[in-house]
Amino acid sequence: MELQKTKREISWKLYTAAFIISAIIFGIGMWTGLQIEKSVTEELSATVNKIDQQWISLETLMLMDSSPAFCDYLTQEMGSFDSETFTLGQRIGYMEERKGVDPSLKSEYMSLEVRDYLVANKINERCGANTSLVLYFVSSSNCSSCKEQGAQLTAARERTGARVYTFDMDVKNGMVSALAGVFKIGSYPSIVIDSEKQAGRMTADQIVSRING
Amino acid sequence: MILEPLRIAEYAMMFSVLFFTVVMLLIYLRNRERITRSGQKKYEPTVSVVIPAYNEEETVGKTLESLLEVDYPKDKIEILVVDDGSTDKTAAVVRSFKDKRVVLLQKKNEGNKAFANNHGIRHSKGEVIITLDADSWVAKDAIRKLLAYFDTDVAAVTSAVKVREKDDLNFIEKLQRVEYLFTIFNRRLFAMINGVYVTPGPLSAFRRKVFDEVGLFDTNTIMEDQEIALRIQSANYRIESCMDAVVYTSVPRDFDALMKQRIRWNRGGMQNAMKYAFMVNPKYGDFGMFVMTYSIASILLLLLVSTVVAVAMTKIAETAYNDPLLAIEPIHVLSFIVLLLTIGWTVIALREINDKKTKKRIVLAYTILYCYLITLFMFIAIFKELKGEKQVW
Repeated sequence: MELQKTKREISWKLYTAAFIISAIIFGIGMWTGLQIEKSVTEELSATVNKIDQQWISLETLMLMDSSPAFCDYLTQEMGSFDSETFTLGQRIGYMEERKGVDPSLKSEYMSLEVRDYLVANKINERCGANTSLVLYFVSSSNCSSCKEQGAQLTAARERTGARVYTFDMDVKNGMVSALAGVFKIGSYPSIVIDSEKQAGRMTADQIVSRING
Repeated sequence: MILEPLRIAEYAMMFSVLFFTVVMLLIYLRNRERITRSGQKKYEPTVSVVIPAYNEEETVGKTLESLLEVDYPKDKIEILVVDDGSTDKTAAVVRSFKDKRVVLLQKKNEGNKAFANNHGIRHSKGEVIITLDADSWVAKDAIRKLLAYFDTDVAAVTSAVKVREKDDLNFIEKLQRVEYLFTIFNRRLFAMINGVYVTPGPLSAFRRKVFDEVGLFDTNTIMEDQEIALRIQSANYRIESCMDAVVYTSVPRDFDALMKQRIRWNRGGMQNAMKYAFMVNPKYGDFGMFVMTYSIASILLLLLVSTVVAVAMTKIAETAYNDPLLAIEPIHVLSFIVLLLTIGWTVIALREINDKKTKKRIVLAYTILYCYLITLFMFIAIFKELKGEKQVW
């Protein structure tokens, strides 16, 4: 039997069909993935709105009656909202760190934090509650030490039960800008503990000591 | 979703994995009937079976027994066992076979199986040369089945290398069993586009004329069975793949032996891919544009898919907020689709090979676990290759 060279061909039809099918499957995969991301964002946004509504109810209650009669109820509600808000913040932070988060969701969340902070302040005043309120201003794009400072604050929060509100100043939000203006925040990270701006970075021990002191 | 350059590259590579999978599935669908059809040629040439053997006293006897049983005219077959400087009783075992078809050739060991193969080929007379490992045994009809695929442009035919059947296969052997079956099927798919890129050592048949044309086995490579296939392809001859010429071979029984074998294969594969990278060229048709491109890219692709799936699993596992969906990104959905297609592809392969023994959990373990094992070996091989560590056969 003779041995002859074979004729080489490129199966263009095969590759074209495979490309089209792959593109369709790829499109379906991308669409499904994006839908999952969208539904998670919507669910987080709905949770922000739900907690926001709960704060509005508390504010309304406080406006209706200025006596300390509802203090037990208000303090109890404030405590339960705190864990919900904290978990929500962690989930948004997790998403942001790993795959980015819709800025409008983050802005909504920060507005919720401002409302939480203002109402908690009022409850503190009216009911004589001594819950420490900590404001933490960061820049997600231009602050190398913010992550470490955040970890110190989380540790201090666990030890003291203080309410910690984190604001990313890179996200446009009028309420947050106004709040930062009140405390003349100009650099990041900046910490405000019980309405007093702190100088420089702080360890968890220093934060705990300041809160308890 | 963040669109950073690295992320875009990740999605582009995922698309190419998907494309490769779809091409293979389309080749299957386009050639469904041809794939399982046996060779049709009535070809009965003189055949020389070359068996390189180094310290194979325990297996070479069974290899010879299986060969002497094959259905082929006795006056048309010679069996050349090349004792490659064995220090055990390999030569004595071969001498104990009094059949005149069996010839013992002895040489000193030169550190590479290719020397032994070439020694045997130089002493052979057959029109067709069949290389057979000394720890493998052939089915009775294997030689006839191989020869039935030779045609005027076919220079070599590969066999169906299966893991030796026995009752006490351990988990690692069972995974390799699925892998070998899957490989038989894939090699057949590649043959449909003249894309076979390895003529496996356990059993392959070559026309003598192709050795005259392209030369004997390369003694400078650690993957001589792949190198010769690439050289044959680069000379524009066809390599066929036969799914029903069965040879049974032994496989590593433990992790260390498997790792050692795969690192050698991977390093040899990388060296050969670089040596024949010039074949990524339209003039080599499907072989150049599809097979070689993916052979070279597969190193990256394997790493990518494994990394993405591993990272996805870690992310899902570490999500402490009882919400695994938080970690999901489109690329994870795409990885999942590729995983499903791969499982489907493996199942099709086992069905076409008519394998009824493999349990579903082994198929799953192979598709999921084994990929990581292979990737690990690839990592080590790349590391050793970059380090320039000497590799012995």
